[in-house]
Amino acid sequence: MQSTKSEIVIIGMLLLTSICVAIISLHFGRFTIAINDIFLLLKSFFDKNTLYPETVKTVILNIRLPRILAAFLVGGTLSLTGAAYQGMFRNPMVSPSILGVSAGAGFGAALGILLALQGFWIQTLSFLFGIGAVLVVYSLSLVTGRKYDKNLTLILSGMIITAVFTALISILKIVADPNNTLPAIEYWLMGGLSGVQLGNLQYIAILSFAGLLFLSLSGWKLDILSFGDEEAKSMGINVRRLRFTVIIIATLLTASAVSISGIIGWVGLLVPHIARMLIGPKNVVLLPASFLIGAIFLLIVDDFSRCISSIEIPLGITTALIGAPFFIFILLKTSKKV
Amino acid sequence: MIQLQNIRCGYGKNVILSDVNLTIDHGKLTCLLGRNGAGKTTLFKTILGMLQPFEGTVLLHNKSLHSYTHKELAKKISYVPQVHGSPFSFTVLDIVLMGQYAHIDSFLGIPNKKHKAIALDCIKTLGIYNLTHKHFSKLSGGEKQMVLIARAMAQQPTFIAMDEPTSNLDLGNQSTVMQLAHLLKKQGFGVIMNTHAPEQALNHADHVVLLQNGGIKASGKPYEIINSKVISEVYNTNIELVTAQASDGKSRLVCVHI
Repeated sequence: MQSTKSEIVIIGMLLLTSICVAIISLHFGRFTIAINDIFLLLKSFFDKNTLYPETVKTVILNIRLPRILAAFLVGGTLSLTGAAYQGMFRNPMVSPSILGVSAGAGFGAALGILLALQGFWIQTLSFLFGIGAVLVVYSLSLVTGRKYDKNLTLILSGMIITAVFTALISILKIVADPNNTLPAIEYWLMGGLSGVQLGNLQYIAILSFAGLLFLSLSGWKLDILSFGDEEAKSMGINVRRLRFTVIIIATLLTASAVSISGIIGWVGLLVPHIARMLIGPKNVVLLPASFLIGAIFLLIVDDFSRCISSIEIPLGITTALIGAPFFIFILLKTSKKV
Repeated sequence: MIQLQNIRCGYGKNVILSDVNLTIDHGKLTCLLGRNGAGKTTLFKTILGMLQPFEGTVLLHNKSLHSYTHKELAKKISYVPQVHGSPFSFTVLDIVLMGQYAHIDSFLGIPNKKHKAIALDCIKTLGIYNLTHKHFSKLSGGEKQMVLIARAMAQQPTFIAMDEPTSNLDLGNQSTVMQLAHLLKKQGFGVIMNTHAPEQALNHADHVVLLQNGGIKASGKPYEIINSKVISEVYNTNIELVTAQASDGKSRLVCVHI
């Protein structure tokens, strides 16, 4: 479908807002940094003679910038895949973890923590188990779902594998050392961006933008697929190939996001609804809008998590506490108008 | 032309229809008639290529249906489903434009002004231009059916297959949809229709296919194959066909239950 000028303007405004929120987020945290110092640091990249406090540079470049980039990418990615899945499954109540990727990634991370692996390997294990879980779900749906609705068998298979990995995580928690390992697993599962380093973000950055581009360009096909398999096929869509491609891309993106942030619920479910209210249901504009709104949403929620108390609140908790009432508000506002 | 040769089809291990031999021409209105469970939908899906037959061949323009790519097939046969739509609120123009998908060859697959003009043309032909920018979910059942017919037209196919297009409509909308079926036929489309109403087949169709006991009971011109006895047997109830004289001077056949 063609993008109208107003849709392009909305996306431009969202992009601008997300950049502004990211810059303002550099200001928030336990160590107070004046906005002026942030601008001085930004200016120093263009004008070498600009002076700024050295501590500001350390805090911003080593701690806050990686975290803000991570919030941007994770929020964007989860919302993008949530929107793509909602279109593909023809169900506005679907989230990116529907096919078991989060449970698989959670198990991988818990296993890595239990084996006392280093951060990079925990992330890798989480990523691989996330993908593995979805591959099992997809294979299971192919075996069981020949006669039934493909979406239904995928979702049921996702529920089964999620239950299995959740049980396996519980087993790991039972055997974990309750003083060190168990809290580490629990904190990981509650989600957070405190341990993020700039070097860990390059893969998710590349995957996110490639996925955003590909899914957005497939947006029209996803619109057609939302009318059901038979109608989409009769209009010329290769349904099986499209569904497989979307699942592969969404899984790679979600697994890479979860592997660096832990399990952060609600974003992928909630944000596509906000985006749909703002820009309409056409995926070609809905998907980039969801990405940007998701980025803005997680940046703001992460600012809250850092600043609301002296102890940092895990992101999974904050997104649920902010997300749930917000979702009720959206449901009330859009009842019958999803 | 669609030719079904020695088709045996069904679901899983259940054979629903066997020994089906049938030719469907374009430029004609073909109605599939039969009781619930007689295999109308199965035959319909086989014709559309949604169901692979166990045996036999479906030829479309003398080429096996299953040798067509998805896009090639969409340019030959379009499908008007029973109304349900998308859970998302697309406008009428968005939906009709989707019919042009198979005709867009560009790498990015983005429709241009030409495709939009074709979609608008279909909307105008069906007389629903006033609905162009309305949301599909806000339309009445009859309006939705017309939008789906416009989308099928926008595929610019040879055949349009309609799955019980009047089943959920009031009398007025049933009449409108049947008039549209005639309009499509006049424009050169082959219209294939699955229906529960024998009167529609009698008074509108050029070709009727009667399904019974897992096969074709009769196939041909409506007045040649449909009579009170046959229709009573097909529907397993006593039905009499009565000729009624309408005020336009033309006589029509109506079904009377006795």
